[in-house]
Amino acid sequence: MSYPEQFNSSPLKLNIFNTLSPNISTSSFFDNPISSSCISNNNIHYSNKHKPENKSKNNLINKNYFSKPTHSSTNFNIATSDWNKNSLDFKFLNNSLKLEKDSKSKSTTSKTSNDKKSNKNNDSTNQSDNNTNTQSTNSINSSPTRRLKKSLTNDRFIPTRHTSAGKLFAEEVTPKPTDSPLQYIECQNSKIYQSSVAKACGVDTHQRILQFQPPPPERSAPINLCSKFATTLNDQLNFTVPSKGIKPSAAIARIRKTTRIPEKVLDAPGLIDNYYINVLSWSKTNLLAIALQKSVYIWNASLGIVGSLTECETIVSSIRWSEDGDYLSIGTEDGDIQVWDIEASKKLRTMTGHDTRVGSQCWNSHLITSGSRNGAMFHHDVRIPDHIVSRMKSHTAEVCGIEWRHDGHQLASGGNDNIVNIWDARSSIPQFTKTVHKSAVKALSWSPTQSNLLATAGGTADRHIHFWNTASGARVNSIDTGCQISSLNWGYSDGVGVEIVATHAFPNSNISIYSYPTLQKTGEILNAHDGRILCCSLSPDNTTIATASADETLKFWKIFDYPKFKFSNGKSTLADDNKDIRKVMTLR
Amino acid sequence: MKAIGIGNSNNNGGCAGDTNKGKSPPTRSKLALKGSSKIVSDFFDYSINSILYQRGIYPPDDFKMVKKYGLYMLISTDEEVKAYIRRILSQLNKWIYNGKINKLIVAIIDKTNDEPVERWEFDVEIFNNKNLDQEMDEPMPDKEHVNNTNKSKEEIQQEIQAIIRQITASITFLPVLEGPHTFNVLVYANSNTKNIPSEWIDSDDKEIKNGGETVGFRSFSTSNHKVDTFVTYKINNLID
Repeated sequence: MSYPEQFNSSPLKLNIFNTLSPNISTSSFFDNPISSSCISNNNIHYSNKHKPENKSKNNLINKNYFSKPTHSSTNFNIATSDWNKNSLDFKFLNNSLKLEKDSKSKSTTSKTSNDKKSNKNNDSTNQSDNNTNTQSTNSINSSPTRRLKKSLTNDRFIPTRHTSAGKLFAEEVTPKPTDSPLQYIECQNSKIYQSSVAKACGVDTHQRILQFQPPPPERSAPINLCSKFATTLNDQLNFTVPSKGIKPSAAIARIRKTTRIPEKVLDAPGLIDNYYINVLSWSKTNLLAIALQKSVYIWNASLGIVGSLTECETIVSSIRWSEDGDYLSIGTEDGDIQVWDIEASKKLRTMTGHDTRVGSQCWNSHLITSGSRNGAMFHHDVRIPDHIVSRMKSHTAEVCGIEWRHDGHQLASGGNDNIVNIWDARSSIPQFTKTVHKSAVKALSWSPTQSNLLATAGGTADRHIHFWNTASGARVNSIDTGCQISSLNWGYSDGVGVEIVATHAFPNSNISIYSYPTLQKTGEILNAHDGRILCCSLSPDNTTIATASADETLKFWKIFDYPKFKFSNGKSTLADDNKDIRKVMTLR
Repeated sequence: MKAIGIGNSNNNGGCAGDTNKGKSPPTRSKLALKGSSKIVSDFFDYSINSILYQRGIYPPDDFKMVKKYGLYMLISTDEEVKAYIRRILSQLNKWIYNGKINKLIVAIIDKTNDEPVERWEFDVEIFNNKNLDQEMDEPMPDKEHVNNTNKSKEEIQQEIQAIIRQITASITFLPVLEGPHTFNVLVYANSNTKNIPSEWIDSDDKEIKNGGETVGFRSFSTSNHKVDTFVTYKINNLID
C-alpha cells in the first residue's frame, strides 16, 4: 500500500465516525491519544500535499453517507461481503462479520473497512460503489453470505475465483531508512490504524499460523517393480498370489490331500514305449482317445464305455482332439494326418505332406499344426484341399511337442534339438528361439491364467522346468525337478493357488506338483507307474490327469481342485461350461 | 473462499432459542467434547491420507484400503508417513480439544519452486466453548447447538462420508499435479496458545498466488465442532 492511499483512509474514517456513528465515541477506537493526533496530523499533511481532487471526492462520499443515514447499518453489511472479495485479510473479515450480528458497535467497525476499501479503489468509482451497495442492500439485506454459498456448493463444485486486482493488502508499512521522521510517523500511524480497526473488530491480530516444521518424509521404500504386475495378476486371478510362499499349514493340507491311489486304472495293452510320441488326448466332451499300436481307442469317461475308432495301416504316433472335441486328428508313422469326425465315427480326410512320422500336433480352430521327425512343422488348414498353408522349418530334429496358446496368437514348439521355439501365429519365422534346455523338449504348457506365460520342460539331461514370458522372450522362473519330464499341466488347488504338475519318466516315474509362482513343491506321487510315464492329459474340468505309461496302463489321478476363477485352457474357457462338465465329469 | 469463510461464522451467533434444553451436565459435555475432538481429528487423519493418495503425493502402492465411515478409505502404509501424520494429529487432537485452533491447512507444494499449488482448508468452529471465547457474553445454546447434540453418530458419519466422497471426486476438477510435490500442514492457532511444541513454527499462510479458485465442500458438525472444508487451487493460466 502506498503512502498517500494510507493517508486517504484517515480523514474519511474520522469523518464517518463522527458523522454516522455518533453513538460510538471515537475515543473507544482511538483511546490512544497519540493515534488520534497522528490521524489529524495525516489529515493535514494529506490535504496540503497530495491530490486535492481526491479530498473532494472523499468529501463527496461523506456527503453520500451523510445523506442516507438510514441505510447505514445494512449498507455496511453488504459492503463487507463485497469487500471480502478484495480481501484485506481473511482474519479481519471473518471476525468482523461474526461480531457484526452481536452488537451494533461492531457493525460500525466494518464500516471502517468499507471506507478503507472505497479509498483503495479510489476516485470516481467510489461513489458508484456506494450507490450499488445501497441498492443491493434492499434486495439481499443482511442475508448471510455463507448460507447463499452453501446452498450452491452443497453437491456441486462451483469454484470461486479470487483475483488480486483491487485486493487490499494489510501488509506492514515499514519506513525506508532515508525517510523523514514525518514519514516514520505516518507508518506508525497506519500500523496503529490497522491495529485499532482490528481491536475494534475484536480480531485476534496475533493469531498465529503455525506450520508443522519437520518436512514430510520422502518416499523411502524401494519401488516395487512387481507391484503393478501383481495387482493385475490378482485382478485376473481373483485371488491372492502367495508371493511370499505358501503358509505351512496350507502346504501340509495340500500334501495330505495329494492322492496316493489312482482314481481308476485302465489297461493299455500294446502302448508303444516311445518318449517322442503323443498318443493320449482328453477332449472337452470328456472323451479320452488313446492310440495303441495301430489302433485308436475312445474311452468315454462319462459312461465308462470303450470303443475302437479305427485301425490304421501304420503305427499311430500322435493323436489330438480339436478344441471343441468334435474332431480327432491322428498322425501316423508314415507322415499322414487323418481327421476324424467323432460323432459319425468317420474319417473326413487324410492330409499328407510329412515325410516322417508326425510326433506332435495341435489344433487351433481350423488349423492343425503338426511336427514331424525331421523337424518340419506345417500348418494344415483342414477346410481346403491344398491344406498346407504354412511351412515352418526351424527345428533340426524331431518336433516333440506343439502347443497353441489358448487365444491362438502364439505357438510354442519343442524339439529333440533342445530348442524351444515361440512362434507368432502370423509368421513362419520363430519369434523367439530358446536354447536353454539341454535335452529334448516334449512338455509344453501355456498358463491358463496368464496368457504370456509358457512352461517348458526338458528331458533326461535337462530335468528343468522353465517359465517364459512369451511377450518379451524372457525366462521368468525355473525349477530343477531332478527327473526327466514327459508332460506339464496347469491346475489349481484350494489354499495354494495355481499349480503345475509334471510327470516324470526317468529315473523314476513320479508325478510332481509345484505351486506357481512360489515354485514350492506342494505334492508328489511316488512311483505312480511301474514304467516311465509317456503321456499325460488333463481332464476337461481341470481336476484329473490321465497318465499313460510304458507299463501299459492308463491311470487317472485326481490331484487338482475345481478352479475358483476363469481358467482358460483350450478345453474350457467359461466357468459355466466347466459347471456342466463338472456334472458330466465322472469317471466310470 | 473468503466469502464462504466469513459467512461461516454466522452459524455461530444469533438464534438464541430453546433454552429449555439448556446445558447438559458438565461432565457429560466434557466427554462429548472429547468424543467430538476425536471425531474431528479422525476426520483430519483420513482426509489427509485421502488427499495424499488422491493428489499423488505418495505413490498408490503405499496405500492400503481400510473401511471407515462406510467407505473404503486409502491410508498410507509407509511407516514414516504414518508416523509423521500421527505426530501432527496427536498435537492437533489436543488443540482441538482445548479449542486452540480454528483452521487446519494442508498445503500442497511444488517441490521445484516451493510454491503452494493447492490449499486444503478445514475450518474448525467450536460451539459454546468457554475456553475459546471469553468475550462471548453468555453461553447461549443456540439452535444449531441444540440440534447438533441430537445428532446421532450415524448422521455425523454420513456427513463425513459425503465430504470424503467430495474430496475423492475433487480430482475430477483439480488441475493435474505434474512433477514432484510435497505437502505441509499448517494450523491457525489463537494467540493465547501456550506450550507450542518446538516442531510447530510460525509460518506464512501459504496462500495461492493470484488467489486461485476455491471450491467449498460440504461441512459436518458434531455436538461441539463444525468443520468446513475448502480447496483452493492454482488456476492454470494456459487455459485462460
